[in-house]
This record gives sequence, C-alpha cells and structure tokens, in this order.
Amino acid sequence: MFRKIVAALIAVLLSAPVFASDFVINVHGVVCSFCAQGLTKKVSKLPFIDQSKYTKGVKVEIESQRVTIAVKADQELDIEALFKAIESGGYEPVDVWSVNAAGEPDEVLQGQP
Amino acid sequence: MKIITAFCCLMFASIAVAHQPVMDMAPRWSDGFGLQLRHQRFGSDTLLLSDNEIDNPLGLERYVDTTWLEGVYTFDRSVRATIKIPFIDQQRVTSINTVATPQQNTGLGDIVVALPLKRYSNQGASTQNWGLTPSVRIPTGTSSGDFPNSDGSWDLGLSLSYSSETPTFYQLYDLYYWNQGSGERGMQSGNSWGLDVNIGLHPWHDNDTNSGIFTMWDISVYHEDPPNALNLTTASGAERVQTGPVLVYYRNSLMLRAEFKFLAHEDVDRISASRGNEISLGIGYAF
Repeated sequence: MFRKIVAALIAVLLSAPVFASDFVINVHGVVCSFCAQGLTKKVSKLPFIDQSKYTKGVKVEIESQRVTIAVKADQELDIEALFKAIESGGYEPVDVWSVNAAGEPDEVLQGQP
Repeated sequence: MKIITAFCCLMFASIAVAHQPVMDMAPRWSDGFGLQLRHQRFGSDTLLLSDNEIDNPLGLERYVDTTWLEGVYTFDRSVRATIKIPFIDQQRVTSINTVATPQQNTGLGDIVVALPLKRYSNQGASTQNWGLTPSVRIPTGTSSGDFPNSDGSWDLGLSLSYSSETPTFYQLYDLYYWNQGSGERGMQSGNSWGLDVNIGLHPWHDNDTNSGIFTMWDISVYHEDPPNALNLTTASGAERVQTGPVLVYYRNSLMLRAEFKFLAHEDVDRISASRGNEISLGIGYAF
C-alpha cells in the first residue's frame, strides 16, 4: 500500500508542470522606460523565452539595471543569442546569473562574478 | 506707421528646434520606428521695438498654430532618419496704409528631414550619447500670397548634441545652426543658431507596467539674423530666450508630452510682434 502511495505521488509530481527557469542579466545603460521597452522587444523574440511570465518573458528593473528573463522548461538558454539581442536593443550585457529558489542570483554563467 | 506697415510682416513659425521626435532616446533599438503628433501654438498682440513694448493702437497681432506629424526610423542605435511635417494655420492683423488688415494662411509648411548620427556610451547606471544631426528643410509650404508660410527656400541645418540619463536624472544640450537659402519672390529669411538645454528629473517609474512620469525644464536661447527687406514671412531678426516646464507621462510604447515656454527675453531688430508664450501638446508611439 505504502509503495502504491509513493508511486502515485511520484506520478503526480512528474505530471505537474515544470516551471521555467529564470535568469538574471546585469545590463549597462538600461535606465529608462524606452530602454526597457527596446530591450524587452528584442529579447522576447528569442525562441527560448517563456512569454507567459513577466512582460513577454522579460522584467526590467531600471533602478538596478537588472533584467530577469524566463526560459521555457524544455529549452536551453542561448547566452550568445541573448547578448546579441540585448546589444541590438542598444545596451551592453555584463553578466548572466542563474537564480536560486529564493529568486536571487545564484551562480554566474557568463561574465564577471 | 509706415515702418510698421513695412516690417510688421510677422515671423514664420520657427522650425529651428532640433530635438528628435518621440523624445531624444527613443526608439533606440535597431529597426525601430516612432510617430508623434504634436500641436504647438504661439503668438501675441504685443508690438516690440528692440526689447521695448510699444503702443499698438491698431491692434496688430499674430498667432500661429502648427500641428506636427513627426516620424523616426532607427536603422541601428547610431543611425536614424527623421521627418517632421508641419500643417500651419497662421493669422495676423497687419497694417496696410495704416488700416488694420487681417490676413490668414492655412496649409502644409516646410518639411524637415534629418539624419541623426549618435555615438552611445553605457556606463552602469547611466547612458549618454553625442549626436551630430544634418538636416534639410524642403520648401513644401506655399510661398505665394500676402502671408506665405514659407519663403520657398531650401535650408540646411546642423546640430551637435549631448545627452545623458540615469534612472533619476536627464540632461540634454543641443547646439544648432540653420543656413537659409534664397527663396522665391526675392524672399530670404535670416540664418539662425541656438542652444537648447533640457534638465529633467524622473520622480516615478513602475517596472511592472513600465510607466512613469518625467519632469523637465527647458531653456532655449537663439539668435536669428535679419531677413532681407522683401521677406514676407519674417519680420525681423531677433534674440530670444524661452524657458518653461515639460511634463511627460509614458506607459510602454505610449508617451504624452505637455510643454509650456514663456518668453524670458526678446530683442528684435525692427518693429515686430513679439513671439509670445508657447504651448505644445504631443502624443507619441514607438513601434
């Protein structure tokens, strides 16, 4: 009986939606509304962005120049494409961080830690 | 009074302002474009000689309403193209043989096309740019009639600008020069140069809705050489200082802008109507 319950729980957990991963990018120069709009416009078009979160998958905090993106669960983050998109929006990406369970930047994936 | 008759051909709407449409910063992304519709009104019934107000027994006056359709396309952040299309409704009361005579003209004005070139530098919590903007004013306005809204000339402009912005502060300095060509019917307006300064604060911004308010203070200082005596559009050369507040509300791609400039100083070369205070209301959208 116990095994059946555990198996059922595991089945439920496996069938539950897996939430997309968030990543944080520090971007130089994103200090205004139109900056946020331009960056969002370019980054949200990337195929791995989960547009169901934030504003089309992108959240820009102009006070800290921190950009949070949501990546689809079944997709990998393409950092090169991400940096190109940010640059075509008019800004300079500095580094990319993975995010821990508390939503804080955890580990630097590219750039200076 | 003859002097007034001869020279109270009041000033054509100055198109010297070199600010880019949809604010200075947008759209900054490659393959972006924006549109702005802006209404501007200035004019007065104050008659000036040098910087002194003089009697105006005939009630001479001039008011100019201009609706601007402005567009910008950004190839990439360093190269843009802009166009400004004015629709002018101008009216005045001038003196002809000492009789106050109303005159009016409505229609398309001179279109301004420009190619802003910008060099950006992003440093952490600030972004700044230097800009060089060559402009051409195309004589699309009518140069016929008693009160034409164009002198019919091709004019060349050049501006050098610098702006920087942080999440809470904005500043813009724009030095410009317009060289006036020879127009039709012997008309030629005077060359002009000026300096625009915008100092702004960004008191509120909401990251979730990407909306907020900008407050700025604008100072415009400019000099205009006297026109030739045959000019029907421009009364005189002048030095002017205009200053006033600018309020901007934005939400994502939409921007609303209200601007008021009062005339802090005006010194005209010949008897002329004062430019008066100026109000401007605009709505812009970036795609």
